[in-house]
Amino acid sequence: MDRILTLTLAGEDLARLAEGLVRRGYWSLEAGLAWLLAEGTRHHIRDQQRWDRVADPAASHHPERLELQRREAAAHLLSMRARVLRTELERDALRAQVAALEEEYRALRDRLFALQRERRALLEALRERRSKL
Amino acid sequence: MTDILATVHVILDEETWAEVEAVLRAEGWREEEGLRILVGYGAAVHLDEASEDPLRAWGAARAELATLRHRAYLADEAVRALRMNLTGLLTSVRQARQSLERLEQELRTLREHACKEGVLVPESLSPSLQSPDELRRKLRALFGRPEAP
Repeated sequence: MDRILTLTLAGEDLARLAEGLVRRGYWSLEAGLAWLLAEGTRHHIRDQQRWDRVADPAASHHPERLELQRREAAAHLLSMRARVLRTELERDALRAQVAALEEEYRALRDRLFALQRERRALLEALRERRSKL
Repeated sequence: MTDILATVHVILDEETWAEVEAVLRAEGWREEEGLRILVGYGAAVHLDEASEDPLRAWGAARAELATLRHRAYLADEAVRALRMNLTGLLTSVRQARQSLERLEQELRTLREHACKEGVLVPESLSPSLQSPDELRRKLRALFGRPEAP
């Protein structure tokens, strides 16, 4: 059975991927992304074995090792950009909610103080009136 | 203008999904994060143009990754603090509304007594101190649900 997956990416990254996929002849973004996911998975599995060959610290500038490092960094960048943007959007929404609640709380407190003043005045007036009777 | 974040749905056959799932499990990635990493991996293999200076390209990518991780840390911390703040404020607002309700009830009774006894009732509140309807509308827009009156 087919599986439907949800992918959330930075808009700019998605636009860049779409351009690249069109260049490769993909006219459906969803099909192109499914292909990238499948290819990414297969290459990732294969590259894990290549890592063992280039793990020697002496080979730190070995072109193969550099290429594997580049792939890994690029892949994590795509994920991190979306993750950061989503968290920052959540933060901004929370900030707006907190600001609005602070405003409401201030308004409620002002009204409470005003009503308390009114109560004090009324009680005072009633006391005065009763003391005169 | 490009949307900040975009969501797309991708259909995978069972066999490919099994491969993807095995990698997610082996790497300990959550599905959402792992799918992005693997798409990014595919893009790095097939779509990225070869750099003339791979060492510099890798260094630049690492630097951007470090910056993003720092931004993620700051945003996570801010979200955590704001959530706590929000919880506290929601409680304060609820308590203030309850106090207000009690006080308004008490004042109604006091005003009635004052009227009966011929006591001059103090001037009522100015309109600016009345119920903040505009603020409620704003809160509804932000929180996406009706606010209790």
